[in-house]
This record gives sequence, C-alpha cells and structure tokens, in this order.
Amino acid sequence: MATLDLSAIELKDPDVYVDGVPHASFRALREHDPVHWHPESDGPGFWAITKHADLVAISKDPRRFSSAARFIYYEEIDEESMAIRRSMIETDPPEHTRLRRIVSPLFTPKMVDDYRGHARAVADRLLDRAVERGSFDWVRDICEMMPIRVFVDVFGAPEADADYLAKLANMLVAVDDPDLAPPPEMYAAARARGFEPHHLPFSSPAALELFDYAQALCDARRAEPRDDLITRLVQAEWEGDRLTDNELVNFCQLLVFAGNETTRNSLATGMHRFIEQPDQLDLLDRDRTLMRGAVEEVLRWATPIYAFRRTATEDVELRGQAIRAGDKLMLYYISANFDEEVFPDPERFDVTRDASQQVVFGGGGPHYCLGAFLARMQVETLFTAVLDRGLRFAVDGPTARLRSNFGNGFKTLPVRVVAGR
Amino acid sequence: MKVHIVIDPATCVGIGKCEELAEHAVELGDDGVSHPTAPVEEELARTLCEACPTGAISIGEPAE
Repeated sequence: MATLDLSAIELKDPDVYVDGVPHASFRALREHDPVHWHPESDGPGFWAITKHADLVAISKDPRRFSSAARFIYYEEIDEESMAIRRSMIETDPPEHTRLRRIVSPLFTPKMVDDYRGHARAVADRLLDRAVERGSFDWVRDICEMMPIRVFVDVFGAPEADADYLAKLANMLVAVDDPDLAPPPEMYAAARARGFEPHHLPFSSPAALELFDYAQALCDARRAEPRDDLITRLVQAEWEGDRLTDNELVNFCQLLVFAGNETTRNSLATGMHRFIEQPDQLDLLDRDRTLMRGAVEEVLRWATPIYAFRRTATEDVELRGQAIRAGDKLMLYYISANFDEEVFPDPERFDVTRDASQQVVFGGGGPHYCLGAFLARMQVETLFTAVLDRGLRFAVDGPTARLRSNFGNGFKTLPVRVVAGR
Repeated sequence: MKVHIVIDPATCVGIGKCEELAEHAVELGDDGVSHPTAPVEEELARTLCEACPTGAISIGEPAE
C-alpha cells in the first residue's frame, strides 16, 4: 500500500480545505509524526501538533507555550502590529487573568440559561420565515442570523446592527476567500488612515470598521451606562486602571468575531451532517435525552477553528522532537478531535458516542473558550427547534465551503424542506 | 466523606465549569473568580479537580 509522503503534507494553504477537511493528512501525521516539522514558503516553518494529548498538555502550559509572544495565527507579526491589535486571546497570565475576569461573569452556565429563551425566540422566528419559502440557504438565512442576534443582546449593541456586525465578522475571517473578502475600497480606506492590513486583526481592514463601531459604543456607555457587556468593559477597573481605548476596541473586536463566526459555522456543519445522516436526527428525535451528548458530537465534527498557534518560550522536548525557544507550534484542534486514541472510529458521526473530550473550546488552560456554554446552548436550541417542528431538509443545490486555513465552515448550504412544513 | 475544595484565586479565570457541576458548592462571583460555598463528597471533589480547565481546583481538608 502506498504511504503518504509526510514531507509533502500541506496544512497552511487555504486551498487544501476547500473540498473538505484533509483528514488523510492528519491521520498520517497522528500515526507517523505527531509532532511534525512543517516548512513554510513565507515563514520560518512550524511544528504541527496533531495528537489530542499533546494539544491538551500544551494548552494547559501557557508559561512554556505563549499566546502573547507572537500571537496565535500562522502569520509572523511585528512589534508595531502587536501593539495595535493585541486582544485578550493574545495575552498570557497574569495579564490574561485580569482581562478574562472582567467578562467571565456574563458567560457562566447560569447566565447562559438566562439567554436561552431569547435564543429560542430568535431560532423560531428565523425558521418560520425560512421554512415558509420552502427552499432557502441554511447558512445565510439561519446560521448568519442566529448567533449574532444572541450575541448583540448580551453585548449591548442595538439589534438593528446585527446584520452589519455579522457582515464585518465574516469579512474578518474570510480574507482568503475571494467571494467574501473585504472590498478593495475597504483596504484603501484603511491605508488612507495609515493602517496596512497586517496592522489589523486577521489582517483584515474590516477590523478597522469594527474598531470605529466599538469606540462609538464604548463612548456611549461611558456617558450612559447600561446593564450590558460593553458597560462592564468600560467600567472595569484593575488597581485603579481602566482599559485603554485600544484595549477596549480590540476586546470588542474579539468578542464580535468569536461570538459569531464559530457558532455560525458549527450550526452549518451540524445541519449538513444531519442531512447526510438523517438517521442521526431521527435518533435524537426519538430520544431527546441524547441531545446533550449530540451537541458535543456536532461540535467535535464541526471544529469551527482548525488551529491556533503557540510560541515556545524555552527549549522543550516533545515526543523526541527538540522544540527550541521561539519556535512556532500550530495546535490542530481538527486533528485532535479525530484522534482515534480518544474517539474510536473518529470519522463516524454518532450522536450516541461520548464526545465530551472534544477540544472545540480549546485544550483547557486559561484560554478555554469564553463562549463555550453560549455556543452549546445555541446548538442545542436550534436543533431542538428543528425537531420540535418535525423539520427535515435535503440539500437543494451546490454547497460551498469557506476557503480558509483557519475557519472551518460553509459559505452556502442550499436546503429544501422535505418534512415539517 | 465530605471535603473542602480549594480554588486557587491566581489561576481561576471564572470559566464556570465547577459551578455547572456543583451549583450547591461553588459560586462564580462578580469578580470573575469561583468561590467554594460548601464542602462536597470526595468523589465530586475529584471530578471538579479533573474538570477544571485551568487546574485551579484542589482537595483541601476533610470537612467535620
């Protein structure tokens, strides 16, 4: 049997992900070279971490594997850009701890329970409107609409701005996709203000618009506080210091991105999977006690972020490989979530399996996803609403996946209602 | 046997997993840090230690 040439495996090129997750490459790496040196044509190269156990160990060791040192993406970043675009996700303890605690109390399981009713109302409204038309785009009409509406309610932005914010969030992560990338005039506008793309989060000029939006909202809450996340951010104090304007707008940018894109993509991949395997949706329908576990399995399967980076702060040996201080490591959540040592027969989607060890929200450690409970609640809410209406769908036209080495999702998923109208 | 759990305030970032698993024994405060409010069965204490994403929880003294 021919074996895959490991040195030829490519994981950074966004084209690799267009037709689907390159599971064969990850499978080969997990088996033969789990701490794999991956060269880069436009960078120093990186260690591809593909085993669940290694990803968890590294995530829980922020002292030796930093998020702050060189940020968390493939790209190499200069000092100037880091100063402009650093947010909580690109800090280490104790700085991270200070920032995280400002927002944590709004995202606990108890708080998320309070948002459940609103989320269900949003899901019902969107499903009503879409299903009436018989066929529609599951991504555009449901997934792009729901998480942002749940988020703006917590965040404190006007609901009327939801679609605008969703559009900006899309343009943040889709810089590599010609169909969704920011328009040239947005790049020109940023340059006219002295910002090159690399100065901005995701190297996207949409971030600058988001900064402006966030600044206006923060100013408004400073003048007139309310009971919302933005007010919490502008009022947060640490030993007499408040967040600077730059910290504030980056915080908002992070929350808008994280509160939208990842959940949106999980809802899309989840529905696609249930259409491909309708027996799994039927199973859930017959036994709703499976729902909690099914949410974990949907999330495992969806893994909406392929990878984040860490940078080694000292020399470390891992599975016999000598990692040097300063080396870049890419943590492939998409591989860890299909690690056969943790998930037997991983490429089988099975709502009855124990998927609780999935690392969609990170491998643990301080950067564990702030929105984990909010995301779970939304997946549960949307698919419960689908089941409550007896809805079943079929794919109704060509689907398209996002061209990205970062965000795992669909650009379009045309569906037709086949039951439950 | 019931034991006290200890939550390291320097490590906890207020994720809330512990509160979800043991609402009667842990409370996440407005300071963004989880606080133990009651002793728990030793087995639950071990579950909490394992479940904490940041490893901030440890088992303390036995509760009288």
